[in-house]
Amino acid sequence: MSSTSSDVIRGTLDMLILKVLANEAEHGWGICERIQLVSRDALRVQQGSLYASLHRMTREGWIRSYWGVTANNRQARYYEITRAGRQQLKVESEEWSRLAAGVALIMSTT
Amino acid sequence: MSRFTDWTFRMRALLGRRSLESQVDQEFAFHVQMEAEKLQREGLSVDAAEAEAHRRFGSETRERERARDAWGVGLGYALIADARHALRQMRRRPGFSVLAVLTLGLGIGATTALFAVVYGLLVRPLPFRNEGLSVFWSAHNWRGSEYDYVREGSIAFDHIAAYSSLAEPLRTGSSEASRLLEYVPATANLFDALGVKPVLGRGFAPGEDRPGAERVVVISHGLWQEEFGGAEDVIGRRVTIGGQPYTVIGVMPRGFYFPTPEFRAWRPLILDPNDPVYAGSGWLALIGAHKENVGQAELTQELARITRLLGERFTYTAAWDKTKNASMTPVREYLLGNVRDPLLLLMGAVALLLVIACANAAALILARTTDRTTELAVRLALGASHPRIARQIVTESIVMATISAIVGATVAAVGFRTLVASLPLQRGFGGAVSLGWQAFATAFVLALAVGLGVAAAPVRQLMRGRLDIRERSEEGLGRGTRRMHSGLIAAQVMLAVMLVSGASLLIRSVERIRSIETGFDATGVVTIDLVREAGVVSADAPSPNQFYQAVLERVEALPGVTRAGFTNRLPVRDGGWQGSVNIEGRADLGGAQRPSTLYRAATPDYLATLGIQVRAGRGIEATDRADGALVALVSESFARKIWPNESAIGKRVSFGGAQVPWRTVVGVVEETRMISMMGETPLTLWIPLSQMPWGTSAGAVLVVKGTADPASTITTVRSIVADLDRGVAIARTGTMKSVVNVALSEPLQLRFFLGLFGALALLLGAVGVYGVVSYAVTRRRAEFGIRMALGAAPGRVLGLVVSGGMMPVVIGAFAGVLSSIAMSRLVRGFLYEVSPTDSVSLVAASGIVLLAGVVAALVPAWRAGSVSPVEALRSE
Repeated sequence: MSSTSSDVIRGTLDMLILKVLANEAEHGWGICERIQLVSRDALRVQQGSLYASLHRMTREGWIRSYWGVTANNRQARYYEITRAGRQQLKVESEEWSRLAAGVALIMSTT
Repeated sequence: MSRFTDWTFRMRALLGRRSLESQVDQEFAFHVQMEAEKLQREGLSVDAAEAEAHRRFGSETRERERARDAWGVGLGYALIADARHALRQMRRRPGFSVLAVLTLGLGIGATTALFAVVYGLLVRPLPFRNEGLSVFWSAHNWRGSEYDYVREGSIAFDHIAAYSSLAEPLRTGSSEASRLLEYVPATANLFDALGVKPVLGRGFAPGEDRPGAERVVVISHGLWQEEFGGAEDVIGRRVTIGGQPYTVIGVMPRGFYFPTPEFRAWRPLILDPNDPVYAGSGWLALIGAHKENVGQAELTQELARITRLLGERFTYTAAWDKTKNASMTPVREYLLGNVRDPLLLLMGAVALLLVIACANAAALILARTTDRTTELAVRLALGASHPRIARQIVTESIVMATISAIVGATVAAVGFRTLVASLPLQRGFGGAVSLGWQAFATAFVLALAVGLGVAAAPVRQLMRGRLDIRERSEEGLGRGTRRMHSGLIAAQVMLAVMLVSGASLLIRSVERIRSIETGFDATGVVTIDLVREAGVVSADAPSPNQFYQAVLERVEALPGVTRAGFTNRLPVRDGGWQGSVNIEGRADLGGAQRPSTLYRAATPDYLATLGIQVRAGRGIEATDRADGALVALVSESFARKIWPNESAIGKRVSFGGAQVPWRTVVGVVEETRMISMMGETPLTLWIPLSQMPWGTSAGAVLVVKGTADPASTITTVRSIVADLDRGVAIARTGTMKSVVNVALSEPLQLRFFLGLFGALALLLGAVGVYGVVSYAVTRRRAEFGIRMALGAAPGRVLGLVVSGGMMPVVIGAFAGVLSSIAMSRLVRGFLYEVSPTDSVSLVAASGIVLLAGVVAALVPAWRAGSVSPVEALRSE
């Protein structure tokens, strides 16, 4: 599997997925696309491994899935965020802000 | 996340596995399709877009597994799949599978069955006080007077009880037939000493063992069920034991036995200082429960004190000196000591066998895993992780071990009774052991351990030698794998040599034992034990002598009967009736120096019936009547030892106390084995049964020599006895041949089992060598092909293979001989006139194992030599 610098940083994938799903329910491919789109191609999700995360998060109870129909009439499994997921998103984004601020501080002073 | 949601999720996932599975597939397919469409929109061709989409997605197999792991059911699900896969694999190689399962199954089965016996006898608590209970000195030679004296003088003991054993006819209520009851006469405090109370009724009251007490009896749970149907009102019932009436006062708990399971009733032993038996010869066993706070040091002191007291009060002959060899034996050791050693030897042998079977299975699995490197490499390339493959290997060996456990449990269940029946377990202990759930649990735990152990080698190989798989084709066989193979084979061969040499030592012992001259001729001799009720049944009932005479007359008149006779004790079966003998005119052999002899009674034809010769003087004759001159015969060793330079004939001896009248020696009898086949035979004194001063009333053994079928002889004798006196019970019947066989049984049975284990070890070892050598040959086919193409003679290739295969065998055999010598101490006690480091056995054992190894290596080697070079090269 190719591994490029634009791969999503380990540990942040959950947060990004939750963030995407916080707006609206989406299917796996859609999540990938949105992350890529919103980050202006700066971030790329390893497509296959996305699903392991999705299933794990379903088990954690942060998201849930249902089968729905896409705009062009295809069967797809959609994921939506749960109350616990929103809670988790809040925790993770706060942590991320702290981390990012810390990193930015170091980078700016050196 | 709440635990509940988590578990409901997992359960749903596990149960609805199939639908989840297809959902994931659908989800993945959707993703790839969307991606491909996007790529198409970006201008790629249909094919290129699809390929790129798949590439971007990565390994679907791996993602599917990762998704599955994320469900939290990965392991459970994978194990099921692995187990299925394992079964498929096993079916694909039936020869290998059957071999591995059978060897492991046999090992597990034998271990399980033996474990159940060992557990039942050596581990499970005794059905009475287990701690602080010991038997005094050597049992069954205490006199009543000594017992009372010791009991009064002891400080460290709460209870000291005396007991003996008897076998007498039992009659319950109105039932006509009497059956033989083996029971224990014991002092009233026996149950206090044992710390057990009856479940029904009461135990003995203090004083019930003194003269004038009511006759009472406590019965076993089994006897209560059989004779009284478990009726509650059994208490107070009257029974007749040995012609005397007794009142049943108690029933012991189920499973209780003392001293061994064959004894089924206990009655007070009447100790009467006015009875000559009280101070006469010793016949009691003493068992004591010491006080709780008494330690080993105090016990040693107590032992010394009792010894001193005994020395002050009594004078002993040299042979029966209780002031010497004083010892306390813990009760378990006393009861089961003779069972323990053979059991532990067999347990050790079985453990060796199991280890061999494991080594064999490990070698087979290792060979097969290496064989499957291509398959494994492909699976790794397809995205299976190393732990995943390792898990697969572990699962396979566990599946194999579980099947083996089932085979083993079946073997154990089917063979258990046979095993118990043929183990040297005397005195009813066979019934005291059973195959419980613990045994089966052991089988499965054992199998699990074996499965994990067996998988360890290939897994280590896999985890460590990741590169081996890629290098496989260059090297043929990893060096590490090869070394591990050789190690396993060497270990197997070593253990096989140990087992085979142990077996051959025992075989040689038994040959020695078999060639022992018994001194009598057992051919065509039937033995029947009669037990007579002691009480007078009616005024006109015949006296014991009249009764025996009448039986002999009627038996000898039967067609097919040559001779018949009675004795008090059968040779090589019965002990007892041993004591000090007085020799007239020999002050040097008086008092404490009196020699100890066996005291054996016989009717005139008895010696001739067993083919025992009279060497000098005359035998016992019909004219030696109870009221006639008292005569005796002595054994050859007796005559030689006591009167080395003169004739024994005409000398006078007496057996028993000082007032016993002298007997004149009238003959010398051929030396025969009397007590056991192997031990020393004590000096023996023979007297006419008619002149037995006491004791014949208890019973006698009838021996009948003839050409008739033993069973029909026994039936006829039964009816003759019943016809003459209904108060006489037939205690047991058999043939003299079986008596001799029983006397030989322990070494014979051990030989049988060790021989069997040795043969199995040999077979397993050979299978192992064969498997590894033929495996190596298959691997090196190409190499051999090239060698032969370059001109190597087939014979040379053959030699190459055999020598390669034999190296670990030779090393193993050498190590086996060394360890056999090192372990020889363990078998010493089971050998007879064979040194535990007997060179013949060691050479034979290693020779046999080496030969098996050569044969096992030759078969695949021959195949290698006959390979056509072209074909060999093409096969790669």
